[in-house]
Amino acid sequence: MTRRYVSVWFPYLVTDWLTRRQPARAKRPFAVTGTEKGRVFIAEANEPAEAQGVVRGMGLADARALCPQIEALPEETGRGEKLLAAMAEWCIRYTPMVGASSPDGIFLDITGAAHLMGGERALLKDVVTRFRALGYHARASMADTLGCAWAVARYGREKPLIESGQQKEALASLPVAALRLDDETALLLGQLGVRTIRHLYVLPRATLTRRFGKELCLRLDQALGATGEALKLVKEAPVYLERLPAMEGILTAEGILIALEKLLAKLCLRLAVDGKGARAAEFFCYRVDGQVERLRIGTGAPSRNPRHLYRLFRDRLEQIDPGHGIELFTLSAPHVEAMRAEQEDALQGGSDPAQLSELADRLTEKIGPGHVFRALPQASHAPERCVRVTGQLAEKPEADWAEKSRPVRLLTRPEPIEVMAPVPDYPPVLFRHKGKLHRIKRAEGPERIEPEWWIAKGPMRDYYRLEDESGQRYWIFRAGPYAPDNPPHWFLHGFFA
Amino acid sequence: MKVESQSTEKSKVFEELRQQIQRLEGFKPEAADPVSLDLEVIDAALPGRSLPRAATHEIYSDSPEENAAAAGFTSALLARLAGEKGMIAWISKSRSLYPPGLRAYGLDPARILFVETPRDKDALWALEEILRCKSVSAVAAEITDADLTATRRLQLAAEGSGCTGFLLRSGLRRAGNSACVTRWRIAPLPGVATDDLPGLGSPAWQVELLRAKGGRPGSWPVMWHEARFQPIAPAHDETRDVPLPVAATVLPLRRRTG
Repeated sequence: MTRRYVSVWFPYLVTDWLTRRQPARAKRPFAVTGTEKGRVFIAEANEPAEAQGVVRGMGLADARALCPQIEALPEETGRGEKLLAAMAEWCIRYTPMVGASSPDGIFLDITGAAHLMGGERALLKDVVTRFRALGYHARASMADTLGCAWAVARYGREKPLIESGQQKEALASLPVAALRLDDETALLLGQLGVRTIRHLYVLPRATLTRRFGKELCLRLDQALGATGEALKLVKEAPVYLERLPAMEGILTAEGILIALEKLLAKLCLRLAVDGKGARAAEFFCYRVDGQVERLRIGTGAPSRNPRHLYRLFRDRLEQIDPGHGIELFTLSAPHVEAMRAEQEDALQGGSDPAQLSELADRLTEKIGPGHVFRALPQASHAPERCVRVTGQLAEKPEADWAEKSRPVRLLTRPEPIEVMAPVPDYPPVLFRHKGKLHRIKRAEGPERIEPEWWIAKGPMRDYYRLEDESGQRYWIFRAGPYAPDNPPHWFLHGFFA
Repeated sequence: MKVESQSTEKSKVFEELRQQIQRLEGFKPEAADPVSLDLEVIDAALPGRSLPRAATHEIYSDSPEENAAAAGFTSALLARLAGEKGMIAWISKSRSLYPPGLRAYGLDPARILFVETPRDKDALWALEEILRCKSVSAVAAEITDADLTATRRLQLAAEGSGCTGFLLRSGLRRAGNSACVTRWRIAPLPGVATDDLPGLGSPAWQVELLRAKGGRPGSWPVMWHEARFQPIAPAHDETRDVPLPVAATVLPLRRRTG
């Protein structure tokens, strides 16, 4: 299948953006300036400035001589790239395969996607109209190759839509600079009288390569389609992506809900056919004014149940601001995992694992990740570290629980207590905790737990299980060994049932 | 002869009426496998002679020590409700529950889905969401404030799904009305030494049934021994140096039953 590419060129990318932010600038000449070796030059001038003869690369002083009222704005590093990236992402509305062509354009791979917009001509028109509506000067062209589309968008004088296989004819009359050559090569070719690409067709390849390096022939072949060229995508295209354009801007919550439901049904059907389940889903709403509202949800286990995914999104839909209306919705599953018809599960027998993982997802969505978890044993003697917390419902324990008597409640931080322990290495006879005195009637211990020196510092602990006179049961420990001159500290660490 | 048949007929009618009332109150007396506490005295006090499934229960405890006792008692009930394969959920305010400690009460920590939220509002929402889920056998939730409306919602959710809920609450004195079918209070008792071994012995609690729809309130000393509830035999107490747990009949009942 022949690929079809669109190249969009923004001749006044940064100046248009600045004008968009301050519409009053539209009629005034101004320029973005860069600095190189102490010389201030024009990086990009707007239309009124160019009309007075200001061109790119000119020194600012020269520009001021031509156009005294010109406003010079220092260049913001990376602004152009940022804008292109945002525009490319916005263009995912047309196709998921979008790449930036620095410094002033973007590429869209619309192979097999043109019919969604009503044909190639309509798509091309739509792209240009929308960017112009946003206040950007834009020229677009469509061709079989990236090189040809790039050339026609920037240098084409006739038609922007190059029919499949017509690259050679379309390029013939364009200047050689349209081949994405560096300035030096273009200048050299010009000096030799090779002004249009037509002249290159007849020159022997061997001579061209010898004189100008491999680059020239490569670019020519790429533009003609003799050599392939890969499009570097701004964003990895999700395989599972569904789109739903709206005839009129959607403003109401119900409208958004209906769109989401429709998209989910489509997406889940595709997932089911492929035996996959979504671990994450992204819902994008493209607004009329060019903003993109986005929501992302994650699931604990692969899911393709539209009702479940719908419920995860539902509570957060109010975060979507429809602005003046939403004209396109997309739903993608950027992260999918294989899923059997009945996902086998490590721990459920009587209960339905899908229901459980859906419940866990709903709870996580509302209460927050990390607050819905399971506790599995971990090989450690330290009471704080023998529990491993996991959000996975299907995870199986890797260790066994230690067969030791442990309290049902553990203080996250051991609390210091005052203790009377007359006999060393015997349990205390009474202790005071938070001002309350507890007389010990019965005790068990000590259970010595050495610190795991490779993880944490600290003295060894001697744990005792105590019961006071009213039957309340405690877990306390002495930090460090007995030393007559340096009495050890005691702590309360937990409560037994 | 005639008198006898009359009296059996009468008792049959009573039994039928009792079951009718229980059905109206939201119990399913014909539950497939009843949850017995294996304790004659307590089972007899419960409606249908077993802990009602598909319902909500309140368990009160006040101090941290009582909280621990209640957690142990609740764990034992949860384990019974879940059986071999069921899933449990536990909603707590902070990470104070210590999973390895629950194993002594027959509960496998790997089967518990823990939910941690300090806010009552979120905890109630999560509890209701879990109670609606047919795949969870039972759920315990630490909840401070829940009024009649909130508990009624929970009770209805439980009735609809078959999941059983326990609200672990504190502040019995301020406790208001609730739609839960039973209200308990658990306090620790000195452990019971078994086989004259030194040490802490088996954990023991004073289990108070403060109210039970269709049941009779009461209070009993109970110990957890050999993985089940057992009555505390007076014989054990003689060897002990602590005051005996007072017999149930003498113990003053808390009459504030809402």
